[in-house]
Amino acid sequence: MKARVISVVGILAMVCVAVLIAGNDTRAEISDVEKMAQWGTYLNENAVQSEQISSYALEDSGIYEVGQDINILQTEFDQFQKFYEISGYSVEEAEAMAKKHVEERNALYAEAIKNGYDVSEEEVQIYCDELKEIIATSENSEMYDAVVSSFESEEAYWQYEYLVYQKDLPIQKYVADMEYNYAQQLGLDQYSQDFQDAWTKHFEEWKEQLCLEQNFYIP
Amino acid sequence: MRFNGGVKRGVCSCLILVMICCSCLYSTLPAMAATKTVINAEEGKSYLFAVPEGGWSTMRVRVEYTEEYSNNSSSYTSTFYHREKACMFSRAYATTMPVLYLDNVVHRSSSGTSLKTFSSWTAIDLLYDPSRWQGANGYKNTTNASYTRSTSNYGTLSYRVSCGSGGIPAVSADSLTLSLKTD
Repeated sequence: MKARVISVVGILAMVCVAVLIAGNDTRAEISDVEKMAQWGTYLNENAVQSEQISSYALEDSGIYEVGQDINILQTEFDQFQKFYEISGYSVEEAEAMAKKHVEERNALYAEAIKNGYDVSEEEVQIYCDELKEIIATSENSEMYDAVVSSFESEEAYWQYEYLVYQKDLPIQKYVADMEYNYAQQLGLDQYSQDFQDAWTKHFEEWKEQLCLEQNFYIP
Repeated sequence: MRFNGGVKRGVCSCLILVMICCSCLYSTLPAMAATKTVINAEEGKSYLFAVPEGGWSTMRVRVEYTEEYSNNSSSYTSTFYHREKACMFSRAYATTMPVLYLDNVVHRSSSGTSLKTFSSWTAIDLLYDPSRWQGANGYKNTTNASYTRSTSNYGTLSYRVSCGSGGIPAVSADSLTLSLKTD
């Protein structure tokens, strides 16, 4: 009798463990394309919000953090957090990663603008056109398709991307020049594996330093 | 026309020398041609990584894998004595940087079992079109590996394009494959 009870309890325990593992597997099996579909849905809603925000004064839109040269909008932080949640991180992990990343983006942007790395409307348009070409020939263009399918049209998506790159392109140009200068400073070929490893480490340290200089705080 | 004995001996010596040279050339030429036999695989691809800003980090790559070999006719084998892996790339990113990693070349059997992994690489200079690519890097390895010429073994060069913790997907992996059959 005792042995039978132990057997039943053992089997029940094994079933519970199997169900738990299966549950975790199901969560892990969300494909990148499915993640992109969720991301597209969020961006579409956020894009609408961005248009609304631009018609209000900045203080009305909600500020997440204030820095020395730049303020971070709550909507931007929320977007970063949502991205990491969709990536599969827990809410707490996503919050911490979003805080770090959104601070880095804004610190880099402020520094790029301070150093004269602005972009014209034409430059942004040209970049978006080039990006369309890269996407069209990419191995994983289904990721793009999944994002765009959540927008009412491809044109609406690219209107949103235009806003994204108004802020990202000055950073890209600034970071590209900083990467080149760092290679010169080290006397290494910019595209050697040695330099790539060195730059990866330096880039992280540099972003951290810029964030410290901004001295971000919650108002 | 008559030749004295010394002249005859001289002419004979010259003819023998010419014949020796010809026979040397005959036996050397095919071997030289064999040592220069090169097989290669290459492909160009673009990879997208979604980033939290709402845009994309992108990387365009061209990856090349080359093997040089010589044939040994008496043992009906090929010796692969020199291989190169190289890539050219262009990337665009703001905060989340895509990085390309070329793995070691591996020779495998037809069943996929690893036979030999080449892990010692020396950097080589590469020529590339700077209007198409931001940069390039390449490496060579000179370890010997011999197989019968009708082998079904193949060489693989795997590569990964990753975008740290801030991109979806985090990593995209691909590989180039080269048949090592030489007959």
